[in-house]
Amino acid sequence: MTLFPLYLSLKVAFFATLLGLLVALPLAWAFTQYNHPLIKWFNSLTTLPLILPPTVLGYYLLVLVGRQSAIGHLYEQLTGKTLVFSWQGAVLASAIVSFPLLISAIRSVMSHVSPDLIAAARLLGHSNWHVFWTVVLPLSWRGIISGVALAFARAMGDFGATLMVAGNIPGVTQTMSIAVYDAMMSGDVAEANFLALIMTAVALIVLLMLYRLEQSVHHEHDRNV
Amino acid sequence: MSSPIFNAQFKKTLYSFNLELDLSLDEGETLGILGPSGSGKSMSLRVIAGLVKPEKGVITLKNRSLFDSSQSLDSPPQQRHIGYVFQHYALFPHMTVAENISYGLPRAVKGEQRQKQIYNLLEEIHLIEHASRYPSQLSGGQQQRVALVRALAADPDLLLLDEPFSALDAELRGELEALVLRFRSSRQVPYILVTHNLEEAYRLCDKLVIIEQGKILQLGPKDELLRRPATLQVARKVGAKNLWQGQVTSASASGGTVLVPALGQELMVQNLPQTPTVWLGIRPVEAVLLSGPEPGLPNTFPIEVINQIRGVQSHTLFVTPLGKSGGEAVQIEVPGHRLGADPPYLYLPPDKLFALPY
Repeated sequence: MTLFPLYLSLKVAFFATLLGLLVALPLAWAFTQYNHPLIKWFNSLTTLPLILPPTVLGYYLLVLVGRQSAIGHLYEQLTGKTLVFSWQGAVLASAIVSFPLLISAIRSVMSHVSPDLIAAARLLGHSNWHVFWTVVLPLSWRGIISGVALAFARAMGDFGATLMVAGNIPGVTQTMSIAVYDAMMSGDVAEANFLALIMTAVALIVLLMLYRLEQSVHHEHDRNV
Repeated sequence: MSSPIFNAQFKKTLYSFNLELDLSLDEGETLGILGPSGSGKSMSLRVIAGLVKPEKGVITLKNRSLFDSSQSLDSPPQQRHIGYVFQHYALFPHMTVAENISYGLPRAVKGEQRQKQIYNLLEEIHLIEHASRYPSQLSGGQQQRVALVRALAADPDLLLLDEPFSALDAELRGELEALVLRFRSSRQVPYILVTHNLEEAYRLCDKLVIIEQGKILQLGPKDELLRRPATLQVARKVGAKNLWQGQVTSASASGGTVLVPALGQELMVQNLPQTPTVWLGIRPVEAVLLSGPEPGLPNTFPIEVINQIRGVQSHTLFVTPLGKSGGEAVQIEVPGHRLGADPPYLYLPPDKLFALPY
């Protein structure tokens, strides 16, 4: 019994969430600030990974970053490795799968930042960038944390897309959820039980965090009233 | 003749009407924009501040061009040096009172100097002991005081006040009005106040502009607007409750006389338009109640009180000329203590009556 799948899952989920966050923060802000029809359309498009089956997403990713594709080719030239069948490929797959959860939470909280506050900050002479850091982000942190928690859990649990892009290479790309499947298929019930238990624990911890976050919001609200 | 320090002339298409304004301010002058809700008055402040872009126009402030559609110039709010006070304060909820004020100070002010300026501003609004509290722990009046000094901390060239007192209780309003007037004399910063309250605009501003559906009805010194409304609409908005039709019976350079059938009186008026029939009006506070006839005084006639509304500060009386109780009533406003006296005569001062072309 090895703990490598747990370590890999945590690593993949961590980087997938980080990658998603870097994209989601500015994008969510842009979605709340601009009203162009194209932006709105793109906004709706970010929900797509939630609706598409993960295997289909994985398939598209393979087409997009596989060895035959331009992106895959470029990645191979730069790093000397392929993106597919690597843990980095798993990061990309789980980042995309978990992205809708991340961006919808952040978008929702950012859209509740009062436009008057943004206007006030800008009128006091602060650049849009500075306003984003000093006003928008501090007022959105709860939504960001709940988005991160959900996305992390989702990234950690991804099976289909990760399997399609990164494969099932024990010790290299075999994450927890894939290891559970693998153990089950090979009749190793003890291993499957153990892995399933760990996954459940992680999910419960995330739920507990979200619950605590919600409670603290209520407390703060009570104090303000 | 000094040239205006602020000029805004623009056109902005809104959902249900077009906003077309032409405003200017001289050094140290203050302007009140009056209008009902949805008349475009807050939108005009947003355009001036650079939060909303108009289709066409020119905006200049202290020799700086802020917006010029012919040159595709549109400087962002950050570079306009305009202070803005919002109706709902817009204090940053995650910053303390001191941090909110600090956010308004220029970044170049550092260290001890910065602390000292924050302290001085807090002192001016008597909130030093609240420096480390959060906005949610302050009352509405206190929050608006913080918002006001935060806007002033940035040393703006122009201050925009967007219905700043309308969310406050009546007694707090007076307090904040006094604060605004104090800052006005200590800092000489010109401001534009948007409100739907005539009283408030009159107390705080030198000039008034009345807008409706995005158009200027009248712009001028506040007393001129009250004494010489240009249209019937403006007359009603500045509180002229009494409006009658009349025929001009004689006219000269210094005024004339008008026969008002509704009152059965011929009244002397100082300013007359060049039309045979006119609208004659007077505001309730300008009509004078006399305890008896005064020989030689024009526009004086006996009356009877047909109705009265008692208020805290003053009473509103509805009176008609004696013997014409079925006719149109004149609404007058008298201080409380006057009500006890027997009020048989009404005097309508010729210089307070205004006449509009019919």
